[in-house]
Amino acid sequence: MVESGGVMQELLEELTKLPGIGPKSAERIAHFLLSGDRQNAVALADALRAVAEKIRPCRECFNLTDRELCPVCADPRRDGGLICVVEMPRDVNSFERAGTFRGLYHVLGGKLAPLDGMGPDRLTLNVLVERVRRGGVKEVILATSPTLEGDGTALFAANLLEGTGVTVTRLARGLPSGSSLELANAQMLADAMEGRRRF
Amino acid sequence: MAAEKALALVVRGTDWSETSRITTLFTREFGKVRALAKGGRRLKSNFDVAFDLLTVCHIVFLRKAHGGLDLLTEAQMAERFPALRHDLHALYAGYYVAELLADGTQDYDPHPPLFDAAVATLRGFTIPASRPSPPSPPEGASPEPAGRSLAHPFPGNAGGVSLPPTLDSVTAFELVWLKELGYSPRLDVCTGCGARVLPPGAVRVLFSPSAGGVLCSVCGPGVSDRRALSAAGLTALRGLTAPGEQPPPDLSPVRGELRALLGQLVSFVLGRRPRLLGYVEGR
Ligand SMILES: [Zn+2]
Repeated sequence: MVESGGVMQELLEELTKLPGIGPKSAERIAHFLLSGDRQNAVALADALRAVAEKIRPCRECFNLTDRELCPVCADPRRDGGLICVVEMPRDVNSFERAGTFRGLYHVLGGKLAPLDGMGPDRLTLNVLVERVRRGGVKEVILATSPTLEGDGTALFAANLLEGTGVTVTRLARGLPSGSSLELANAQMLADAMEGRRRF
Repeated sequence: MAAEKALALVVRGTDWSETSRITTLFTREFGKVRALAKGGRRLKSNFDVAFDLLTVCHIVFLRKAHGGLDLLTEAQMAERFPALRHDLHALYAGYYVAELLADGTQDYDPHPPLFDAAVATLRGFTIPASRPSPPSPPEGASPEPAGRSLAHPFPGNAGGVSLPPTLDSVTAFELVWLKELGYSPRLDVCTGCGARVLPPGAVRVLFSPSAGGVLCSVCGPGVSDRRALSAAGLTALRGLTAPGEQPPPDLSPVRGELRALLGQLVSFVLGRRPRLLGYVEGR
């Protein structure tokens, strides 16, 4: 047990603010950073500072980036006619890892959750409508989460986009690929049945 | 720890960790229950539903003896309300019901009629047959940019002029909520002196949330939160609250007035203005 002075206590407090890190894990991480080569700790601190100072929302889509435009928006091979609307930047990462979507994104910055004080004015919905209005967009894919709040956010966005002439679609839902019917719950089966398509 | 079974409506959910959720449930048998659903965020968890908001489910939970969170052990979806996913008016009304149940009731204070009223309100919303096309701007008006404004994203209610009929079921629910909490407004005689409040020929009375109902012209002026209530509004309110009496079939002439009054009354009882009130009323 290291003598817990002021700076050590501060580090532990900061670490426990991270998701999934309790007091025990915080202590383990702190001791790891202090053992061996202290250069590792300095490198981590530098990386954290750089991220905090340089990462900002993309001018176009609000994905996180260290430039004006994120790599997706800056890529001329991406299809500008398709915009996939997601709640958070991490959702962009999920789609990019899957590697099948070749259009652009729009990050809302959350979901419409009035019970938690999250109103439409706190989302980037106005900018989405602006982007569509500028022209060139054929389809807006609403990829908010498959919950009531996610559906509500999609409904709100669809209402806003009504009259712009753009095709608005919602991500399909239902059975998880590679799973079995046995493991699917009632809602998955109901969704899959409702969203069935021609073979 | 005793295992309890209940029929529950999910009124709030918070992610607790990568895999677990803390869920606030309004149960028919026990009233409000706050419980931890371990693994409630995993797709293949043993819970049949991921405790999505405004879902009715059969639950089994372990009741903690000395405070602390109860622990959910089983959940199976019983009913969902599809209209909430197709109509923003219905969705906001549903959220409002959830807010009044989550923030306007006490833990383990059962009110079966309130549970039934909540489910009946949610069931009453129907999916709009087809979405009406957006109204076109009048000739010569400054060109309205395509798309709706954030303030009024409702199809067919772009100007926010008419209050949606979903509000009538909200009003009916609020009256049950008030009654169950012991705040049913007194509408027959003056809450101050017991005198008749609507003499023949009178067109309006006074109403006060803090007084808990209507006031005569003598008692009323001394009460700070008094407001005017038309004779038609009072008759409609009496119809909605009195058992056996039939409510008027069309509330539209007094809808705005009743909304203002109930908004004030509910805010008084809740101790704050409900978050969803502005959404529900399209403001
Ligand atoms: Zn971008």
